[in-house]
Amino acid sequence: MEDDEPARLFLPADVVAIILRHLPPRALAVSRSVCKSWRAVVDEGGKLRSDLLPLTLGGIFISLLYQPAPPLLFSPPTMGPGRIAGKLESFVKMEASWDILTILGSSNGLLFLEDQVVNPATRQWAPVPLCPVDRDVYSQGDVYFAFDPTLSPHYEVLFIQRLQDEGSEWPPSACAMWVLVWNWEVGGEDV
Amino acid sequence: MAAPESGDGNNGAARMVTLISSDNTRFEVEAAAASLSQTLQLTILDGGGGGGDGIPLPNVDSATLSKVLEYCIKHAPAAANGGAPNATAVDRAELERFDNEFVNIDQSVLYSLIMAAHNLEIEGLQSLVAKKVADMIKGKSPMEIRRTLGFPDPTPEEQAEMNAHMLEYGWAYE
Repeated sequence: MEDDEPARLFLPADVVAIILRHLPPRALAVSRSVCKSWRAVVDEGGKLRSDLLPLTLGGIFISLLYQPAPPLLFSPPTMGPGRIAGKLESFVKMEASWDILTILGSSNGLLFLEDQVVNPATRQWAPVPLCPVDRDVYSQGDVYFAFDPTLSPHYEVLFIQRLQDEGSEWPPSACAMWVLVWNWEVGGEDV
Repeated sequence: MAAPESGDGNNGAARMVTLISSDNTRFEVEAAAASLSQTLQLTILDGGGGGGDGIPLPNVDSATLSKVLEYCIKHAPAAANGGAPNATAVDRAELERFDNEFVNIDQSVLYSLIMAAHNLEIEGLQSLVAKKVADMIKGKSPMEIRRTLGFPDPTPEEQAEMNAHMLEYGWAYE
């Protein structure tokens, strides 16, 4: 028989819908594979955001830190030209002609460009709000960029400052680590 | 004909109603508690369920109904205050503690409860149990979810379909 859906699934669709409402996107995507009737509930409710549907690798940016060349996009020919915004320079206004754009971090399709967060696939970009610490500190430590849309619409920038005073005890009794959190969808809400 | 005694249910002894489970057990409970059920509320407002005649609930057995009523009795005062803006933090913490303990029960009871809450339209209870079930699902693979919820093992055809979907959603299983 073609549609031999077991009739023993004990929960009616509207109860399943109420349960699935409590799941975060990632778990919701998993629940879609449980059985046909659950899949129907997930699809019908339109609860799964389309941007969380299967991801494909569209290309890879190569950015040489502090080298005099802008980042380059390598993408497979199947992607076709122009699908992904490869020229990141067009998103960012360079203060001086000798400034070179560098990708400081990337996560799940977003690129972190110091002043800007860019999604090259959708051509969306948003300015990174002013850092409460001097932006120059980025060069005095390590910057990490994190974004997982299946867990939260916020991206986070973590900054771990390099310790200057070599004579001091290690680890120091107190060491500040900046964690900056912004909402990508709203485009720059400081939390 | 019983005189409708609703209207000003605030004075005197609280009005009681009788609910009858599918296995014919009678439960006498304050109307305010039973009214957490949207389904029962209408009947109760019409003056039903009092005196000798009870409200039959053919879909709910006595074990489940007593559990449902335990929830309703605990939550009725807060519900009467309309979300209780004047509830103290202690009250709210107590309700939360009660809720957490309340759903810490056998899985078969959870199922009966969510079905009863659905049939009786008790929104708070339905949401409470749904959240508990969602917590049981979170972080599990589709196969583990099926086992957790006691689904029958998938047919080979279903299994193939599940595998195809899991491939498609590879990122979700990292």
